[in-house]
Amino acid sequence: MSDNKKKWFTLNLNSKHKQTSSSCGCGKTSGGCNSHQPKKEELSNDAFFEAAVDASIGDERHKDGFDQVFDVKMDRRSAFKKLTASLLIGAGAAASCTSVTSSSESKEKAQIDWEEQFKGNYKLMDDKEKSATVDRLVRSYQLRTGKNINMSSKNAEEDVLFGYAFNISKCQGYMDCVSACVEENNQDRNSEMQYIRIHEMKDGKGFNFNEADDNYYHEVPAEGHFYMGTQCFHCDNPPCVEVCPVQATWREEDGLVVVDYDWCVGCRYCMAACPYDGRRFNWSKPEVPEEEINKNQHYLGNRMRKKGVMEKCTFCVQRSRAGKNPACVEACPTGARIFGNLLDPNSTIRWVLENKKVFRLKEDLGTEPKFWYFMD
Amino acid sequence: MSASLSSRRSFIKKMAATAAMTAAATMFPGIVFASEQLAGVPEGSLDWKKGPCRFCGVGCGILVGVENGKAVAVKGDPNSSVNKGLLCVKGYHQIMCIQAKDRLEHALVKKNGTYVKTPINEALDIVANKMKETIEKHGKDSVAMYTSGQSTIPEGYVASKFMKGAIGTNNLDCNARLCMASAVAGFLTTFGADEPMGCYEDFDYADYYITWGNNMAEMHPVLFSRMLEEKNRRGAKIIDFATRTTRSSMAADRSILFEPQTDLAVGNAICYEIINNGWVNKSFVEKYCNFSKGLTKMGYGLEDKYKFKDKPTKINFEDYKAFLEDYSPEKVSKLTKVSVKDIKYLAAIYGDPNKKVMSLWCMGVNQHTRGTWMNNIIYNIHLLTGKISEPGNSPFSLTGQPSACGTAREVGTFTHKLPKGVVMNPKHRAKAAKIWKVPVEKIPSKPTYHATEMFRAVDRGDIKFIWTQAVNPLVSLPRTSRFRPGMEKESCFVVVSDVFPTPTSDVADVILPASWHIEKSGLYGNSERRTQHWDQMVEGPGETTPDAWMFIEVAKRMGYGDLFPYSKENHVEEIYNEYRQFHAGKKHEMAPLEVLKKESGAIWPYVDGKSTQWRFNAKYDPACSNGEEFHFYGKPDGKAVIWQRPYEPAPEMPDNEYPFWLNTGRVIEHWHTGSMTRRIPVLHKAMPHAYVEFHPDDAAALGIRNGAKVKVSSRRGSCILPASINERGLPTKGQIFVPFFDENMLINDVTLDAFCPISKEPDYKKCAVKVEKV
Amino acid sequence: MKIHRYIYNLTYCLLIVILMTSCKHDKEHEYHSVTDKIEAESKNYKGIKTSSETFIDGMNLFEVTENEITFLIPTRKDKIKSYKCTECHTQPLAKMQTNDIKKAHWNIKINHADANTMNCVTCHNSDNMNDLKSITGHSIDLNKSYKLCSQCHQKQYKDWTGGAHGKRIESWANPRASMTCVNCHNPHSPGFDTKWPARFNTQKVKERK
Repeated sequence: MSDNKKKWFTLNLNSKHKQTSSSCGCGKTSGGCNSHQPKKEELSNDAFFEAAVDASIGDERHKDGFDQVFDVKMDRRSAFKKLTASLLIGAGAAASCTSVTSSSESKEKAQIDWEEQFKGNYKLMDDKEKSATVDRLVRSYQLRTGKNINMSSKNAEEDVLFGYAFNISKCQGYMDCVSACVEENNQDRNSEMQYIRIHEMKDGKGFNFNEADDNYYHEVPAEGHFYMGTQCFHCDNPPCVEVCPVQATWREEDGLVVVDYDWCVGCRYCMAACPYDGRRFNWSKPEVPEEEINKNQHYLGNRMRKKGVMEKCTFCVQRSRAGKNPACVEACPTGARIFGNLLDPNSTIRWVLENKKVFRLKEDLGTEPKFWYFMD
Repeated sequence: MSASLSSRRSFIKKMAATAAMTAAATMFPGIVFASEQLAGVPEGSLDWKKGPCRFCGVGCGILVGVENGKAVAVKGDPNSSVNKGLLCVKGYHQIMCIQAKDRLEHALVKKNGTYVKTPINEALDIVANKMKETIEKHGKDSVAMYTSGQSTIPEGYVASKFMKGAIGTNNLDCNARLCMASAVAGFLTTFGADEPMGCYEDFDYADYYITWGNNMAEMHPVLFSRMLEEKNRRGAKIIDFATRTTRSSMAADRSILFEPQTDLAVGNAICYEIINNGWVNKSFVEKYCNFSKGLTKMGYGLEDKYKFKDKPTKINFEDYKAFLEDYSPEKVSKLTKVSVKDIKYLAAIYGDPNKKVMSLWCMGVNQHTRGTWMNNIIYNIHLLTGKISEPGNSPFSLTGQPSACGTAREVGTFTHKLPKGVVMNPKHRAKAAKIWKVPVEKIPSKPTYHATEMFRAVDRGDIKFIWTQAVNPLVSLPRTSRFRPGMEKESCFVVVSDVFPTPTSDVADVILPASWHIEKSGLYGNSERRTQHWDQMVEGPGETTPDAWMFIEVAKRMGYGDLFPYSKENHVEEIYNEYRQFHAGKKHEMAPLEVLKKESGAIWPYVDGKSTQWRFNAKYDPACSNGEEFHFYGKPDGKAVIWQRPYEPAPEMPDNEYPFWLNTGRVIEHWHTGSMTRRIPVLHKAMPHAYVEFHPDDAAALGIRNGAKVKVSSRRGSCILPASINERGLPTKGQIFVPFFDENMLINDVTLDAFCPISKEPDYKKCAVKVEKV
Repeated sequence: MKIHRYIYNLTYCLLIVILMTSCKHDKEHEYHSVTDKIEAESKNYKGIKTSSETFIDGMNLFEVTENEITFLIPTRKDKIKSYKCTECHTQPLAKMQTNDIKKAHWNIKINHADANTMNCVTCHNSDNMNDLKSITGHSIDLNKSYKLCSQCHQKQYKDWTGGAHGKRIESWANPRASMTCVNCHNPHSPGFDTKWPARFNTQKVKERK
């Protein structure tokens, strides 16, 4: 397609704008950052603002490049026009900053979007830059909705390695964990995204995932069946991290495998690489009703995502780094889920690993998941 | 009960049904109960008429069952969204007080030291003549009127028109000065518009209810029942922040105690935490808030003729943040006796954007020598986090009296107020003059005496004639030890309109027999801006007359009859319709009388047939006109003010000679000075007399046992009371608590008449006393 | 030829080097499995800053040490409204010893093992009704009711002390606070009924179709 061709062409090193990484700076699948080809088009302030909002974090009004590229047939001219939206932020922000007529709010919005567009990979940021990006995101949310959120960029603590254990005998299939996870992590309600899957399997057939049912809806526990749950296992040797072409996902010091939603390009290679179906993709713009939004967020965790990025269980990084149990652990009424610090020799997770007969799924793949199963 | 009943059997049946409903009501939540009521207890020949309750500021809707002209039953009005059919112990028994044997049925005039029964017209002649005489001899400002937050709206309106429009003096104040003035000053300084911006429906949405120094379980029981219901149903949490442990603390999820007066410091510490933890809703503060500071070290109003005017200066956010550096939780923890953990816990609740918080306060914050400041500080917390004017997020200033909002604040029966606006503003005077049809020069432009100062003036002899109505100042004023001899002086002619004899009527020269609540028609306005109307339900005994009509009669005798062209049968309606004109407009429109007669009240502003439940929020309030999401239209630039207010100590703190803090307040069984509730046998038996609460360690140190008589004395007076240890409430060490309903144990002889310099509201909660065994 | 041989050796060495370095290692440390990592890194474990105190603050917890593990559990006496049983039952009811037990607390039905194994006096101490009693007749404090349960349910008790049975309160950090038996299981009817699951994923049904 013509747009793809554009993409190849524009990975050009004649960039006037310095970027900290050689890969694409914007989180869009819409054909890359065209900042290398300055296209000076004269647009009114309103259009500037529109363009700025268009490509901003969490744009709300127009279709973005994903649909344009894959769904819509259009001629080269209009496609090109739309694809330079990214570029226009730069020119537009510069113009609107100096303009007298646009309000200080839209100037600020454009400023935030400009800075967010060109920030580097979160992994490479120092603490100051991290808190700066968090402040920008909080501010952007306030400007857009007038509501306040708490976003944290807390780093991993030393001597902490998170581990998880799941008691198959205890799980009764209540799915309270699934519900709590969806609410805590601001997941898309339209596509009913769930990080956790609870599998109902027939007794006597072992772990037969082919015949497991994760979408049952009847009284539980049902006779002759048992239940177990899967989610991202936060492997210590994660295949998803290896295959990411842009290094948008990585394993943190405390063992959590996280995704930077602003860096992810949405290629879904990691989704293919994960042997446990741990990762989820936003095929459409994620929407959560206003009253249900969890406003205590973390940059790497439950902040509002946009269309076309990956997400997954983060062991509720916004909770666990503060010392709280993840939402699923807290919600489980039977106490089937156990969470803790693997490096603490006195923790309950260590006791489980040492005293119960634990196993992990697909050990032979060498992914070293930090999620063990056991039975009473 | 008299014998004029249909049949004893059916009456007993009805009584039993009512008693069962009463008992059931105290056990089950009102919501279930209401539908059972509607399902029907056999009505018989009872005529049920609706109205608001006579007592507290919650303003529950009641239905009074009248049979053969006698009120025989009370039940909650299931159609009222306030109480949904539930009442409290005072509400259910209120009509019993009119059966009291010593009811004032005739006018009494003091002749040669004894009270002589006089026909009402003669008594009114005497009053009018004395008033005219005093004005001629000593000038307009020698006569004064002291009305009430329990007066109906027409009564307040007529009093205001009479004093300010007809006679031309600003010597009109009311007892709401003693309860809500600080709240009013808080509203006006922060928002420019009086009265809460939320409504009771906030209870249904809030996740946290934080009470600041008030005991809602006893003082606003039906609202507390609603909070408990939400606690059970939704897991909402109640946090009690007070100076002593009360029934509210025992039902709360957490009880945090603080040292008296230091709520100022804790409030500022919470603001410090909010700013320093990044919980400020920056875009809300930038768009909708200004910063200001006022004068400090203002004194306490202890001297006669004390005058104070605040001078605001504009500051910015950085100044405010720098000011709060002195109020970090670590720094204030020792002074306030609140742990750093608890302060951070409170701050985290306000700072968590997921949680909806309702702050509730009443007398603990208002009856405070820095009450205006404390109101400002609570609003600061809600403005910094943007938690205001939306369902569930609500700083809610609760009102104590049934119509302090409706009458005192909205009609403006204060020395400086008019029904719309203030006397100092020529435009407001012009509007009043137009509606009242008086020359604008008649309305005086300078305020004269607020409540405390008014009685000081009586004591000094500056006021020679005072008329009190629906109020009992010689039990309810602070430092009654000074004001009682003052009112007994020959120099002052005292007229008292009341339903029962009280210590105030004991010093009166003329006692006028007033109609009780349901013996007249009227309107009240409660805490959530709801105006409620009731029609007269029964005839009053003897020559009892509605207060409004007595004012009108005196006015006629003084030659102002043409200003009060109302008919006796219909004066309430006519007055209300005249009064409505003052508030026309989207910001304060009052509902028309037909709506009030049909519905169980309507909230103002009543615009286009709908009550405005949340003000200042463009989504709910049609008065918002500047296109922004929030418009604080009380202020000219549409922005609310965050006030920088410091902590200042109380005027009289415990020392070696007087080592205890004295805190006064109420109990659930009795209303204010007890003139009505102590005449209700059930309530009187439940709580026959006042007492003084001690902490057990203090009592042990003094060798005092439960029930022992002790003498509580201050530099002003003393009072003898029985001790109460570990009974209803538990003060902290070094503090005692006395309820003020008992006229035989007059604790206000002991209290101090210091007041907040801005609002002029006295502080009943803090003075220094000593305790001795008797 | 010598050059061939030389090239052959060089390639061989390069191959070996490549093979050796192609083993996937962590950037910072070289562990072959996560358990190795855990062993190595927890050698110098000194404790962490994150603690559960902010979360368990305000709860009535007390410390117990069982199986050489110390942790906090909630008190029980303050949560039973009618505790101090002796406030009503001032005299030990001899009636409890008999089978005629329908008169006391008539609304409690025992659904715990069968009638041969358990009745009221199996657990409740008729001499001191504020306490429970063990199989051998010793008094057990109501706050430590787990001692009673552990008499029969040894396995669950052992798992509970370690943390594999039961639930933790609020936080994964130390000090550890865990629920006790009675916080989840009603001692008179400890089993759980079936119920409906919390969530139904209509989207997946669509996808499957």
